[in-house]
Amino acid sequence: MYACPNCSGNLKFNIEKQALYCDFCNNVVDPYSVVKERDAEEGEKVIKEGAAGPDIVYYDTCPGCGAKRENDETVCSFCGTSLAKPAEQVLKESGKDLEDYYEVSSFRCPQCGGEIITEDTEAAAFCTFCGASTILDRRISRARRPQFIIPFKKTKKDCMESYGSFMKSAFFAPDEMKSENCVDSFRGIYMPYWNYNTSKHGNVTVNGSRVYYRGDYKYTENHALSADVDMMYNNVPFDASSSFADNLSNGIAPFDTSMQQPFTPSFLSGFYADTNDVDDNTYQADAQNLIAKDAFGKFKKIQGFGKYGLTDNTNNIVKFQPNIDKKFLTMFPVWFMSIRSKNKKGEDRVSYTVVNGQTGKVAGDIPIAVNKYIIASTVLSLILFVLLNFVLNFTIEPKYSLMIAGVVGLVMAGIFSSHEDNIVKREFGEDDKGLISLRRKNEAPSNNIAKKEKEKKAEMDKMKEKSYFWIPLGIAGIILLIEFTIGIVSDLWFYLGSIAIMGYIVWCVIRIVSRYNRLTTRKLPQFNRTGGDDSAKIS
Amino acid sequence: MQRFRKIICLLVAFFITLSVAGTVISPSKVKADEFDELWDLIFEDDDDEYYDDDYYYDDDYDTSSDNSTSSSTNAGTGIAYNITSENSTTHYKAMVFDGAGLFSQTEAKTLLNEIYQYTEYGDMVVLTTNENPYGNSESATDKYCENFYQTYSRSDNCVIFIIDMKTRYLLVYSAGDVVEDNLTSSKCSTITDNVYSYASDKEYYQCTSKAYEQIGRVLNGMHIAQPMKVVSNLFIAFVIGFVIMYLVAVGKSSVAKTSDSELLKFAAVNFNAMNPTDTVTGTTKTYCPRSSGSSGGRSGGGGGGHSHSSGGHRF
Repeated sequence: MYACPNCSGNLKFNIEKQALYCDFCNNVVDPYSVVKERDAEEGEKVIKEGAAGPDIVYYDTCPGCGAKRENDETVCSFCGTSLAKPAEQVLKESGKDLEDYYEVSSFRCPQCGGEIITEDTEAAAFCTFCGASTILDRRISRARRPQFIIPFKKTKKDCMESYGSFMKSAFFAPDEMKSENCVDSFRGIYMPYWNYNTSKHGNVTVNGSRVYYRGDYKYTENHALSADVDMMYNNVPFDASSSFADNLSNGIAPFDTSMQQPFTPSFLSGFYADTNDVDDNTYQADAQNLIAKDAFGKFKKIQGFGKYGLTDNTNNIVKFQPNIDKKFLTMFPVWFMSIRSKNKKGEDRVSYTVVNGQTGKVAGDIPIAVNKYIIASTVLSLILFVLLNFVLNFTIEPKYSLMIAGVVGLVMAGIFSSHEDNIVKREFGEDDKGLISLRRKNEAPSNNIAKKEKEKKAEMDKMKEKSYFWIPLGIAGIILLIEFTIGIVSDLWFYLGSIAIMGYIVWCVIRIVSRYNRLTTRKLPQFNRTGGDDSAKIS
Repeated sequence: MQRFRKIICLLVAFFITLSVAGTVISPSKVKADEFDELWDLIFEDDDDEYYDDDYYYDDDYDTSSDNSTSSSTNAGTGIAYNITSENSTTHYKAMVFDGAGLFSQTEAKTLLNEIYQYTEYGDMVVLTTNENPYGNSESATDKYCENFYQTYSRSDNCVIFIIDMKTRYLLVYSAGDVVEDNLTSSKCSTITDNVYSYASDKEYYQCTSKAYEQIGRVLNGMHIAQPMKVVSNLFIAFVIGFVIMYLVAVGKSSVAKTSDSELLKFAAVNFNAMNPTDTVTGTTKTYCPRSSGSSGGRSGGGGGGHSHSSGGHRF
């Protein structure tokens, strides 16, 4: 804890005052002026495992009695000595500088392996990432020291207001998501982000062309457009935590990095912090591509270059790929809410809503309440019916009615298939680069990578539900084929066909919406860190 | 899940109810005694101005018929009847031109009597043909009616019901402000939808009679049954409604992607491009004759055109 210089009370960061604040004596303290005092209990009760970042390294033999370590033991079963190597030793062995790390109290969820850093011991009762009510394993750890931090600017009240406005437009959200209990569960978490400083200097040449006509001839004039480019893009952030989904971190971006301040751990007091477990190379290519696209856009705007029809193709963009000059960690403020629920099969699912702690921008996994959807669709359909039938006096031949139904049916089947692809990708964590990189890092090296990939693809295909696209295709196809080959088909058949296809469409849409809710909830995360265990008991 | 099933069952029930309602809201049939009165009015009441004097055989139209009741054709009864009766008050005519010979003499006369009552609104024409010179498409039938109207009716209001044996297409054609106001394309389609099954069963007289019965109701400002229209529109409305709402729901629920420019909004960016040069590296020349282009003048006036409504159905 950070002790108040006046009364020794616990100092916590106050958003409104943008400083540390003592609730007991109302003292306001500069975050850079305090140093953390070791909690008495920490020294006595908590096993000091000593880790370099989130990775704990263990001795092969007990340093106390020399017994061999077996079955992933963390403590020697003979003499009780901790088998974890001290942080200093781990860092020294890996050639890292101890100054780049700072000591933290970290809590790890035994169920999902999610890890969170906090000074607040009450945090130990609830996992932010999987929503489990469980006693988190506490340990003293070492986390890589971020270079900068953007302190929280939005209070919890601001966050709840932003969320409230966001939910107002989410007509189809389940009522539970609007309940006070749910809103109250927002937690302020500092999320680690990798920031990239990049630059590029030198001549860049891009090919363009201009077409003009003279008489009966078309002339295509090819041009080489070049310029001496001197560009610098600094502070381009990508999230550095596998527990933070890419779509959510993208959804609440951007953060105003001009407001970032040099990091000191006291900013974390009163809040939580996620640990960075994603390699700094993971998003490097994404950062370079993002910058290259932007730079090419600026290049196209050079006077006189606009008329040559420069297109955003890879060949052109790649010429603006910058060099990475520096990569550094920054903590960004995020209000985080996780809601744990069970689906129809009884599986535990979790959905996240996040609010940018600096700007108040909201992004979230908002499920669609199927009953609300059906009611709204029916009301809209009736309005459309009145409009078509009584206002517009719309009349259509049954043949065309069947054709329209057939085409819409096929489109819905296509949408369904596309949804299934996205669902399966998410279920397998294939839509999050951070998670993929962490999984690869933790996977045992294997010679059968191709075989494993094949098995995984088969498993993914097995998970996909079928769209039954042949239903609308078959019904409309057979009736229209008879109509166009044999001759007149009674209107009755067109209408029966249309009814069948319409039934398919409604069934398909409802299935899509139900399955869509799988996309807005996630499997309980498994971060593949030590301790992550799906079968761990929760209280 | 049970709740959803209930909702779906309710929807289906509602859907069926609407469809049934659309069918049940059918026109009250024209009473038999009204027909009798009409018959008397035209043929039996000596004092009446609408009598046999106004009722004559026309030999001006349809080369396939021999301008008399004895001409034979290759369809229906094989006898073609072209008969006309003029309303001396409105000077609109009722005409039956049975070029395809689908009606017997009695049927043709009865039809003439039936359609005569609507001549207060405009010319009423029953037309059948098996030699449409405009082709085999459905639009050929429309052109045939257009030509008939321009050549033989020329009145300011006209309704034509045609059975085109060549294109196998029924069409109700209406021209003129008075009839078009009521007899819209939508109504024309509905009427042919309602009667096409008679034509499919070769009951041409029934088909025509029923069609004019409904045309009469529409011209009198009354409702006609539109079950096909109701069912079609219900299909379309439900399909569009569910799809649109799906797009809205997903749009409202999914996480909006932040644009690339927005992602770089707060990045410290410095972009300088010095010494821009533009060098021509080569030119290719392709022969590509261009069209002579328009003269820029106005297109010729098509003058004399008129608006009309029509709607039809294959049989």
